Amino acid sequence: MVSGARGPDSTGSRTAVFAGFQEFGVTYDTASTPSLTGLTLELHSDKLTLITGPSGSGKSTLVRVLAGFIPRLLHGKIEGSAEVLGNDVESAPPNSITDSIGMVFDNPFDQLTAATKTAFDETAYALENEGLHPAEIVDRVMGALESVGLADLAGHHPRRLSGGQSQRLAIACALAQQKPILVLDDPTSQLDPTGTAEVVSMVGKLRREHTTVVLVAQDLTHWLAIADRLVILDGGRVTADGSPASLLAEPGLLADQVMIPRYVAIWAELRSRGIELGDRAPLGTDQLLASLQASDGAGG
Amino acid sequence: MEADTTTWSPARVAALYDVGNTWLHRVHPLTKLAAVLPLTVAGFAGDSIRVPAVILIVAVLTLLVSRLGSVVLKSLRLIAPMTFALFVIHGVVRPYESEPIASWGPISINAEGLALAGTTAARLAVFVIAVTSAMTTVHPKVFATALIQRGVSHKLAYAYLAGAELLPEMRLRASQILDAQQSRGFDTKGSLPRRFRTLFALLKPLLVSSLIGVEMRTLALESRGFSRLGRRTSAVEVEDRGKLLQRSLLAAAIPLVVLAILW
Ligand SMILES: Nc1ncnc2c1ncn2[C@@H]1O[C@H](COP(=O)(O)OP(=O)(O)O)[C@@H](O)[C@H]1O
Ligand SMILES: [Mg+2]
Repeated sequence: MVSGARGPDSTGSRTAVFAGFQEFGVTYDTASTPSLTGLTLELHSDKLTLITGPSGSGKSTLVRVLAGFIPRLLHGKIEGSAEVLGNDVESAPPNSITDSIGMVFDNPFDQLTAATKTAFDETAYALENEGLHPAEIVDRVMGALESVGLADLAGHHPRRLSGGQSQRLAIACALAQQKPILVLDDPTSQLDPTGTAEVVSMVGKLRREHTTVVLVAQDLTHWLAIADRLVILDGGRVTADGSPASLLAEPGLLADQVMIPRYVAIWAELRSRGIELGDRAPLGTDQLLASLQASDGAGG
Repeated sequence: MEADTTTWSPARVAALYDVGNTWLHRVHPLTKLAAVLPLTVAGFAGDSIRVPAVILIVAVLTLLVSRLGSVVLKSLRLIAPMTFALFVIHGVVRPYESEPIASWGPISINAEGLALAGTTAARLAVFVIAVTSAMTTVHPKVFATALIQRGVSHKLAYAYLAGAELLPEMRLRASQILDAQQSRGFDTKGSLPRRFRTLFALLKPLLVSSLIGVEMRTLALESRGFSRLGRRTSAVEVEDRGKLLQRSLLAAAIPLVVLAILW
């Protein structure tokens, strides 16, 4: 039972493992080459695991397995094994995984049910399918919309929300279902800067409330500061895994696989010119500034 | 892109809804739906325009008095193109035995044809106005909930609701792609072969983006319990009432069919 196991994660603290992949591989029925291969990875509760890698490296495939979509809904040949919340992904009963994992996709609108006229109804949809009492549905929906800051827009048509609001609505749907784990597949890749900021601060808030988050992002700029762990995929396998600050300490080595945030690139450049900035990469512009000021102070 | 007002799809029907609180809004959705059948059948009574015309006049007056003039307008928009086509086919195009009442060169208008076109159009109008009255005054979700309460599968109800939402989305996507193509220098006017080339250029990304959208929506629905077995509830509570009235309305269609055949 993976879910009961305990083990150290890369940050050194000990938390429960909720998903484990062993030499895992997926070849979609419609593809000739594997999209994931020989992938070994454990994911921990109460952490934000940030997954990155080049386009086509298998990030979406990995989170689709995690969310219970592969191989049940999207068929493919499986190798090795993967367990999510104690269920083997190949033999898990219907809904056993999807009931516990909330999923937010990259396109804010394609993930709407398209069968509702209000943000309220959109959020209520899953609860109606669960057969909850109408009064409980109202409570949970309003609670969820409240916590993503959309309570005022409950009566708005979901398609008329902005991209950022729509992504928050997708998060609200998972919250209303009280799913303990949230998986986001590049949730800001199709958003403008305002929408991106909304979603980043929303995920930050959920982390402070101890929601377990697995987040795929090709652009790491906004996420490093709240990530507990960074996993890099390339060619369908894990090529690096560790704390963001130590993994990015040698950004040059990762440049083929990772879009290096500007503050990390500047830090690396300054360091290569002999400025003493420590050996942990900054995880945001603020941290870069702080280490610059510290080195200034030390230097004279 | 103009709305295709002549197509009768669940999407168009679900999209008819207008917010309001008239007496017709308060009638149970399935009662309104059940009333469509006897009304439509009654429109076929007699072999002239008389019966459907009387039904239409009463219906239009009732709607106007009930402040539901919008229903009349929507119905007109829906039947106008069909009516026009009927008059062209029956009045002008179809050859008749009797003498034409007017003719210009090859075009001639025939009284028999006009009467037939008028009667057919009026019968059609009775059906359209009945459906439009029902669907303009019931929120799609309330309608779907009422259907599910009576045992209609929730997947069918979903298809009905999603139809209404996805049609405009497809249209929007098509026009966005078209805009993008135009801004890339594609000619949407130009000669016929050019326009065909544009059409193909338009269709491919539309198809691809729709398919990706469908896959994502399927997964998203699944993570919201779409295929879950067991009882479902609805956040809107629809009182399950009017069964007897609804059955009576449906039953009333039977003597009306007999009447329409015999008359
Ligand atoms: N539904 C699918 N059917 C077939 N092949 C797919 C499908 N989805 C992704 N792939 C392929 O699997 C590989 C990994 O894709 P994906 O997991 O989407 O990567 P990423 O999210 O990192 O861009 C790619 O080569 C892609 O073409
Ligand atoms: Mg992807």
